[in-house]
Amino acid sequence: MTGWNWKQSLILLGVAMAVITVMIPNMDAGKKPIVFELKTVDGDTYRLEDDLGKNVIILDFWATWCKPCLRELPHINKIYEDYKDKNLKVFAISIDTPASKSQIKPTINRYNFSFPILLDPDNTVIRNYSPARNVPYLVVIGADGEIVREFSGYKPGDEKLVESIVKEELTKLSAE
Amino acid sequence: MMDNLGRSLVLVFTGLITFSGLAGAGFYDEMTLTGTFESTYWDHDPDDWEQGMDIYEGPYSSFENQLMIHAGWRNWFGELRLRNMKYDDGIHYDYRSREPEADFEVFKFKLGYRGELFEVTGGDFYQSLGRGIVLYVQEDKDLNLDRTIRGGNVRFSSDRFDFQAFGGEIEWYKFLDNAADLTYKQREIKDELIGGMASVRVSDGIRLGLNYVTGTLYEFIRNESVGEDFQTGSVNVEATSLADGLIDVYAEYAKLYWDSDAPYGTETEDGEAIYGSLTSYLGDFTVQLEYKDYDYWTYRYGRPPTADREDEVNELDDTKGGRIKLDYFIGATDTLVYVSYSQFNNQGHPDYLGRVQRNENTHYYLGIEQNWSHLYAHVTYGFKEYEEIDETHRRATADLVFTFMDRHSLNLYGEYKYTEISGFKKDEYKTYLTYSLSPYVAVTGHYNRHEFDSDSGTPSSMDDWWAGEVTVTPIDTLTINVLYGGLPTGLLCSGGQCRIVPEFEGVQASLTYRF
Repeated sequence: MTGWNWKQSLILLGVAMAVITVMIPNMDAGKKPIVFELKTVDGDTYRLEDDLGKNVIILDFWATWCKPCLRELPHINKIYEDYKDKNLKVFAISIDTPASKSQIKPTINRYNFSFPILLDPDNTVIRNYSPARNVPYLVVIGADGEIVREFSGYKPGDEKLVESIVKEELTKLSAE
Repeated sequence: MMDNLGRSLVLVFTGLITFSGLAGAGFYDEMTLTGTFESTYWDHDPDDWEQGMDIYEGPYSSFENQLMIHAGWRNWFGELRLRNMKYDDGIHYDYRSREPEADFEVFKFKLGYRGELFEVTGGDFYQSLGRGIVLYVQEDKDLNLDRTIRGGNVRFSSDRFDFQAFGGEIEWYKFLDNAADLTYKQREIKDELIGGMASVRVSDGIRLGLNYVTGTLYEFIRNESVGEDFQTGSVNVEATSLADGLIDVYAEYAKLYWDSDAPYGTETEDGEAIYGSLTSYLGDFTVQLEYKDYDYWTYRYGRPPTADREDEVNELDDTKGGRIKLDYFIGATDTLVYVSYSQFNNQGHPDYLGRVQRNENTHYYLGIEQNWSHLYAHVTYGFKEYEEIDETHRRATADLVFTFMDRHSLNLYGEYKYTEISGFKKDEYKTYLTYSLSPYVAVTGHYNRHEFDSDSGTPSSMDDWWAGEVTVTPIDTLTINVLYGGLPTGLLCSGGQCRIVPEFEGVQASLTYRF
């Protein structure tokens, strides 16, 4: 390992830790989601800030070519169906590039997904949440408009955890 | 190097002190801050590269750290990506790096203001227009390219109108002055682009759009940089949920004009591209028709739809034809069946092997996807034939996922590809088995094999890759991944996640922390 510039690497890590240590506690410990504006698959405009603090929100980043995504999304669709009348909003955000955009709606129809689909063709939004752009990537935003939990990848059983968080946050929302 | 490091650290710490000072003023109540720290170590020791597939023979190690910070305050937002990378061989050349031994640097940055109907951004941004025919500037993990436009971008968006204008430079390639020169002096090639788009909703579900890009693309010819001016534009129409949601339609027509005064005889034929898609939803049936006609569309920033199987890249530049795809979902048994048939030709232009003749190809594939309570199965088969040039491709895949004890799962994937081109045959096998033993740990074993044979008496040969991988997620914001062994380039899915990886042999260790 001779020749590595460990000094600079450690300094960079130190800067990262300093940013985390100094700034996060000063922001009331909660993690606010980065707001965005995206088009729906039908061409309407959606703004995240319109729903923050008013609904519990699930953002699920996915792509038509991602098999784990297509195993996760049916579970999320069921959670949406069960709780959509109780202030739960779900947005499946497709990171398909323009070249594969024509495959998005057939995929939705194929699996009978009922939640709204947002388009992130330049992958600008997913980079703000998951810079490596790995999918699926699921974010639960709670009753107070802050991120409660993030799931990188899908592992069987994640959907039960997501549902329990959603129920807990919906209870908080109805109490406010 | 240290000057840059020093300046950057001073900048960062000045920022931290400023932020700390603002804490008491309630500044943070309106501030968002997220980010990621990624650290990746590669010990790359190739011992049996595929012939001609890699020009960077020889082992190397790399250590790369990247810190990305995204901050927002009221309507302002900013992004900063700092990178530190190091190669131990001193001669390794990497498309992503500013220099062969780049140290600490500001890799990407942007600052912007978002209003209710508009957004202004300065710095690095990704951009595509329409279906990517006239512009597609994105990160390409297959090629290890992370290209952005560095410049300005103004966007206006309402429910009825969308306008956008942008301009800037793209640093797309690092060129060696002389391949034999081990100092690896580099020349930078920067393309210049200016463009924009406008679209209007003419009625419910119907939008019309115009896209335009002009600029100068640089090439290295005879040891000097040569610019070639171009203009490209397209008109597109998109209609969604017509006939009570039964039909979606998209069509785009594009032209590409090159400057005819280009030096050194680099004049290029003007191009034309047409893409159309019609999808119909008839209960449990989905029917999709696609048509493409790309003529002399050899354009660096164009990536039109392939109208092909999603994970099989085919000719993009000069091709004409169509495909039909039918999906049928059987709700009673939770079964999905799909079949696709396509017919394309190469417009009579030379292909990548220089063969000049009209070349028809036929491609069909089918798949069945089945869900039981604890078992998911997906099986596909595809066949493609180029009749005139004796070229054949076959591909079969099987994906099985068995879940048990709530949070345990086994995922077995197998893939076989057969390619035959003018008597040269290649068999590719790809398998992996992943065991997720909890939400926190996943273990994967990979095996890939490529076999080569020919009718001409050339000795047969074989490459194979073994790899083991462990992914640990102790908390939801921290992921640690260690891979040992070799992998060919391609889409890699393991641990419930997919990513595109370059060819590799050795050890990889990565840590990702999201905050």
